[in-house]
Amino acid sequence: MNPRVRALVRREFRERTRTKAFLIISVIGAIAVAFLTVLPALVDELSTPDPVVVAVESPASGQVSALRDALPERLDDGGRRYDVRAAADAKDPDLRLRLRTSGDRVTGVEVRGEDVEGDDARTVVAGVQQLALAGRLQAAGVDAGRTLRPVPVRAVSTDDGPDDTKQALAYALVLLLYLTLLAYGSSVSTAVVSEKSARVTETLLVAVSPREHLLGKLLGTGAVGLVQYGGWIVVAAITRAIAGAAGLGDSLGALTPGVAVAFVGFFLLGFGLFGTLYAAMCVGASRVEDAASASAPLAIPLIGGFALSLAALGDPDGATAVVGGFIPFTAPMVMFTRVALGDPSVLSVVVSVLGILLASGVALSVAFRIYGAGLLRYGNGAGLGQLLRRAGTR
Amino acid sequence: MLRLDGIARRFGDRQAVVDASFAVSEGSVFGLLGPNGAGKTTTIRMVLGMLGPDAGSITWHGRPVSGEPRSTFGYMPEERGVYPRMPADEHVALFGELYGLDRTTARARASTWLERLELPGDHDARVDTLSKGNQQKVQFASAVAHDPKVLVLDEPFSGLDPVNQVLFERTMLELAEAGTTVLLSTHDLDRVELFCREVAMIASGTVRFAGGVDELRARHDDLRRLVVEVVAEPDDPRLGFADAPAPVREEPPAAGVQRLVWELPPGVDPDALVAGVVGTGLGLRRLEIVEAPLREIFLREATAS
Repeated sequence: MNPRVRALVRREFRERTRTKAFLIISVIGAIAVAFLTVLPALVDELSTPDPVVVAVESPASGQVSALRDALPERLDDGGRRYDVRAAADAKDPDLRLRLRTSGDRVTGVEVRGEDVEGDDARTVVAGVQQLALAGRLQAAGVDAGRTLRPVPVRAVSTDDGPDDTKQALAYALVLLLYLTLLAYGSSVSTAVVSEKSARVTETLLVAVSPREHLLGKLLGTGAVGLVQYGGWIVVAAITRAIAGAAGLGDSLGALTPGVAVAFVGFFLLGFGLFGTLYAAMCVGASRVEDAASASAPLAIPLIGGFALSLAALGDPDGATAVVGGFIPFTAPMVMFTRVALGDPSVLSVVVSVLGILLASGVALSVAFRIYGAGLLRYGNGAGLGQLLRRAGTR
Repeated sequence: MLRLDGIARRFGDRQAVVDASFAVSEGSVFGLLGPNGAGKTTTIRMVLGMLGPDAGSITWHGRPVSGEPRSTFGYMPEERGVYPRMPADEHVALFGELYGLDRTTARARASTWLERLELPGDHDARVDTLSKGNQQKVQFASAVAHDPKVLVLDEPFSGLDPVNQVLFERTMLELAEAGTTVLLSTHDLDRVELFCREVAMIASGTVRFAGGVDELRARHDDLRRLVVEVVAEPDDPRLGFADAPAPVREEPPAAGVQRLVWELPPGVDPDALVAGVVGTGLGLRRLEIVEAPLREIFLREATAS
C-alpha cells in the first residue's frame, strides 16, 4: 500500500477507535452478541419441563427398569420424560405419579400436583400394561419383541421453509449487515465533511491526491468495521465455549464457516460500494448536517436491499431473492441471505459478486473524478452534476 | 525559480484568474497581495497543484509543478485547519509522513519543530486543548517539518500575539535564509514592506504588478510625500511661503513645532519646496521625503478599474 494511504488509514483508524462512541457501540454490540448467542438455548433450557417422577409400589423384579425403557422420550429433544423409581418416600415433593401394582397389574394410580396431565397417567399405565402383555405373550411362547415392536415415529416438520435456527441467525446477520452498512457508509460521509468543515482538507490536498484521500477514508473506516466485527466474533466464540462447558446449547450452530465468510465478504463488498457512494454524494457538502441530506437517497437502495432480504428469508431461492441477488445495490444483503439459507449455484454467487465489484468500480471512478473538486468547494453544497461539470475542468 | 506564466482559471461563468504571470526567486520572501476575492487563493491552489490552470504554465526550476514531488511544497492556509482530536506531535508527524518522511524521521522532526516553535507543555497534548495561537504553531510545524523547497503561507501572523508574531517572523526569515522560497500572501502591508523585496499585486483576477517593491514604488512616485517640521507657531506669517502648492498641516508633533506635508505629484519640484523652507529662516526639525506607502499603492491598484 502507498505509504501516504497507509498513514491516512492509520490516522482514520486511530481517530475512530479512540472515540467513546466506538467503545460504547463495541461494548453494547458485544453484550448483545453474547446474549443472543446463549439466549435461545437458555430459554429452551428454562422452558423444558422436568421429568415426571413416577414411583412404583412393590414392583416386580426388573419392572422398574423395564418400564423406564418402555416409556416414551420427549419428542423434541429425546430427553427423559418420565423418571421411574421403585416405591419412594411418599412425602417426596417431586413425586407426581404413584402406581399401586399387584404382580404385573396396575391396581391404582395416585396423581400429585397440578402440573401433571391426565395423559401422563394414561401413558404410564399403558406402559405397565404393555409390559404385562409382553410378559404374558413371552410366557405363552410368542415372540413378544416381534409382535409388540413399536411403530417407529420420526419427527417431521410440516413447515417447508428453512430451519428456524438458521432463519433466525440469518435474520440477525442480515439486520447487522444492513445496520453496519448504513452506519459505516454514513460515517465515511461524516468523516469527509467534518474534515472539510475543520478546514484540514485544504492542507491535506497539498500532501496527498484526492484519490489517496478517498482511499484512506474508505480503508480506514472499513478496517474499523472489520475490527468491530472481529471483536464480536471473538465474544461469540468465547460465549459459545462457556455455554458448551456449562452444558447449554447455543444459537450459533447454524453459523458454518461458509456463512461466516460470506457475511464478512458481503460486508466488505457492500461497504466498498456504499462507502464510495456516500463519499461521492457528500463531498460537495460543507457541513455535517448538509451531508446527511445529501446522502439521504442512498437509504433507498439500502432499505430496498433489506426488504428483499426479508423476502429471501422466507423463500431464499424464490424469484424475488434471485433477482435481488443480482442487483448490485441489493445484492450484498440478498445474496448473503441466499447463501445462508438457500442453495444458490456457485455461478450465481460469482455473478452477484462481480456485479457488486463492477458497480463499485464505476462508483469509485466517478468518485475519483469529482472528489478533488468537491473537497475544495465550500459554501452552498454542490450536487453530483455540478461537481462532475466542475471536475471536467480540473 | 518559481515561475507562473500566463495562467488562467475559470469557475463556471466566473473568471477567477486571468493571464497571471510572475516569478519568485529561490530563497526569497515573495509577497502576494490583493484584496479579498482577487484570485490569490486560486493562484495559490494552482501553484500547489490542487487545481490545474485552464491556460498557462507554472514551473519550478523550469519543470511543471504538476510533475514535482508533493514534498516540494508546504502550505499553511488562511483558514486554520487541524485535526482537533489528534495529539500535537502526532499531527505534525502525520503530515511529515504524508509528505514522504519515514515514520521515525517524521516523529523526530515533529519534536524538533514543536520545540523550535516553543509549543508550551506536553507535545502530545490534544490539539483542541491548545490555544488558537498554539494550534497555529502545530499547523506551521505540519507545513514545514518535511523541509519543503517552496513554502506558501497565507496570513500566517493573524491571530498571534506580538511575541509569537516575532517568533513566526524570525522562523520564516530563517527558512528563507536556509534556501526555502516563501510565498507570503497577506494583507499585512507593513510586514510586506519589512520582509519582501518582490511582490505581485492581484486584483480582479489580474496581476496588476509583479516585480521589486522599489520598482512598484517608482511606479507610484506621485504618492511620495515631503514632510517638513519647523519651529514655529501656527500663525507664524513666515509659513505663508508655501501657499502654492499648499501643504497639508498635520497635528503638531510638539508645542511650537509645525508639521507640513506636501504630496509630490508630477510637476511639483521637491527641491524648490525645500529651498523655500530653508529661505524662511525657521528652525528645521525634520526634512524627509517619505516613500509611497504600500498601503496607498495597494488601495490605488485594488480600486483601479
